[in-house]
Amino acid sequence: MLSFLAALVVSGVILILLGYNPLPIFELLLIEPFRSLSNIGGVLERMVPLLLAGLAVAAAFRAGVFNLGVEGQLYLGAFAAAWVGFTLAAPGPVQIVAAMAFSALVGALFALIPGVLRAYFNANEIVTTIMLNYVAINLASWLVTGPFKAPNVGSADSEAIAATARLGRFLPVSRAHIGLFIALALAVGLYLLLYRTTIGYELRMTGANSRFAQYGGVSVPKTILIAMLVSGCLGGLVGGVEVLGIQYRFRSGFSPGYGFDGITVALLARVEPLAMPLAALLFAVLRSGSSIVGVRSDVGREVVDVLQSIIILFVTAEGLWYFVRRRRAQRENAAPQSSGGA
Amino acid sequence: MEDLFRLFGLNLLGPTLRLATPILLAGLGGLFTQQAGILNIALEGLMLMAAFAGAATAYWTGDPWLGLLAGILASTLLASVFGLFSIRLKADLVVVGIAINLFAAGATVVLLQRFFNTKGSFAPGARLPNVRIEAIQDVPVLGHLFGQQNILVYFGLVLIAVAHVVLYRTPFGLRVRAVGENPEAAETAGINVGRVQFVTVLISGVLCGMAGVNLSLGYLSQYSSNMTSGRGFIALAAQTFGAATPVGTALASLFFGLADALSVRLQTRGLPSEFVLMIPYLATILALVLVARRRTLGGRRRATTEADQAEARL
Repeated sequence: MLSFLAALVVSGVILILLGYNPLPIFELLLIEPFRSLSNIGGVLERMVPLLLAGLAVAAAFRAGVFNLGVEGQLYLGAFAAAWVGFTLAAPGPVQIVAAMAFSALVGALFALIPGVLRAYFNANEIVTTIMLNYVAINLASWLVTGPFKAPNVGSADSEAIAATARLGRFLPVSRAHIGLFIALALAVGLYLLLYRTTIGYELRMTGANSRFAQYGGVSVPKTILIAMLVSGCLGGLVGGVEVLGIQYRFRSGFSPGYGFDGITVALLARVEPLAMPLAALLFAVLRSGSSIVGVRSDVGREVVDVLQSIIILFVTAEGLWYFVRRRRAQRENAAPQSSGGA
Repeated sequence: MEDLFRLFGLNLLGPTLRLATPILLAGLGGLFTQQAGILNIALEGLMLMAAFAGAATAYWTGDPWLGLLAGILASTLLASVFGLFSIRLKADLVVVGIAINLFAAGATVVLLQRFFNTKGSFAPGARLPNVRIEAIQDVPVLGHLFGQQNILVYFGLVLIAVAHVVLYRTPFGLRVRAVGENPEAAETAGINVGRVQFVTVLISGVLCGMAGVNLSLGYLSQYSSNMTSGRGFIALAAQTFGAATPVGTALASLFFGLADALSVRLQTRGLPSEFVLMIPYLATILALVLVARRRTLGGRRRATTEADQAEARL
């Protein structure tokens, strides 16, 4: 929270230097999202992909693996869910479960690629997951400009999913949908997996010290694969739930970078699944607020990216507070000496 | 057959070198930090910041060289933030890198809107000159490659040699490699590890500055939003593929330049553009796997010979 406030101050200064008045902008960014029921709905709606993406990043992170590929996984997961939604003729609940399961499966399989490359070929997963994002996004975009393009629609969209496959909405005048509760349940699920199962223990041990884990009899490559599979499942679900709850079809380029926001959410929650909903809520406010800023002021909504990057820097610079304290200690040590000299 | 010749004809060489140059410049920057043990995923953001600062300065002053200078300054300034947080304050390298990339992506759009009132693109109206070497115009291959290129392309070629000399023939280079090889040992030998790492980060800032300006004021005189579009990451891959050596990185950059040049041609030949756009990224992954595989095999071979020797000693 301290990091968040510090980041606000720094971005406020940047805005002043650019000749903007930061106060009305911050008001639009932080207060306006709560001003009406539909705005609150907008926050809750955005919280879903952010929470799921945060969990996806955290699952891998806990095993010491960086999954920067959530953005790609969510695109393929979204297409997978849409495909089930417009092809499978079945009762509604079956459609929904099948679509979510398929999006999780596709996400997991795609995450398995960097997982295998890391576990067995020792290829840096940071680079491979970033590269695979471009592959996944292009692949998904080809699917809806080519073979699965909806007829009679100008843009690159898939057909709409069956009305029965839609996730119910619970707040009138907004798009907030029950995917929120699914995401919250998955946060608890990931907590239980990490802290109440053997696999979770091995996963955390690998993340804390992979050599020690290896000595302790943990198969590190296998654990990395499991972590990537779990991460990919959640990554795929980010897209799947978004399609079933909001979009109702696959649109190419629909994600404003939820996969990368997931990294910030995970960091802000200190990679703890149960703290994740709060971090996701904060970022949902920022994302909603940034749309309002983009429409109602002459500052680009991208100002929130700047704010977000500064938050990350402050959150992760654990040495920062140490540094400040040491400086202060040095000054205090120096002070008595100089007064002694005088 | 004729079609294949047209696809791979000699006139592919010029574009290959041109498209390889930004990757090469940023890759050279990345290899300096890599040699000092720092994975620099901020290359992308540094390039983007430089591309914007360079184009904007050229637009305001009309002088592309001032643009180059401004691009280098902006990128180096951002690199020093990367160094401050990752080295001085010991924050995680990857996370700081992500933050820097995010900052550049956001700040360039906000600045674009503030000063140019657009979210798309603008033309700086000036660009760095091309150099035409008359003597080799009609020489095949040589003429295709070096006959006429932007001045930064030649800069890049010279910098391969400079980087090689600095790394392998100067005390500073020795220190950089010592720090990357074993920081504790280097510290014991009296090397200030943090300072050496910081200097390599600044070097990567300067080189990424040139790489970014090469995009907005080099072949074209145009800045468009997010114009690096992943080249910083490809540079990171080129540097990894080249085992963090200047010559290896240069060869890898040429390979990616070729993939890029080919993708432009294949696109005009009816292959879906999405697949063509995937080529450099897939090539990168393949390259990483090959490097990693070679290294693990090499490591295993070394391990077995050591084991054999130990056995022989017994």
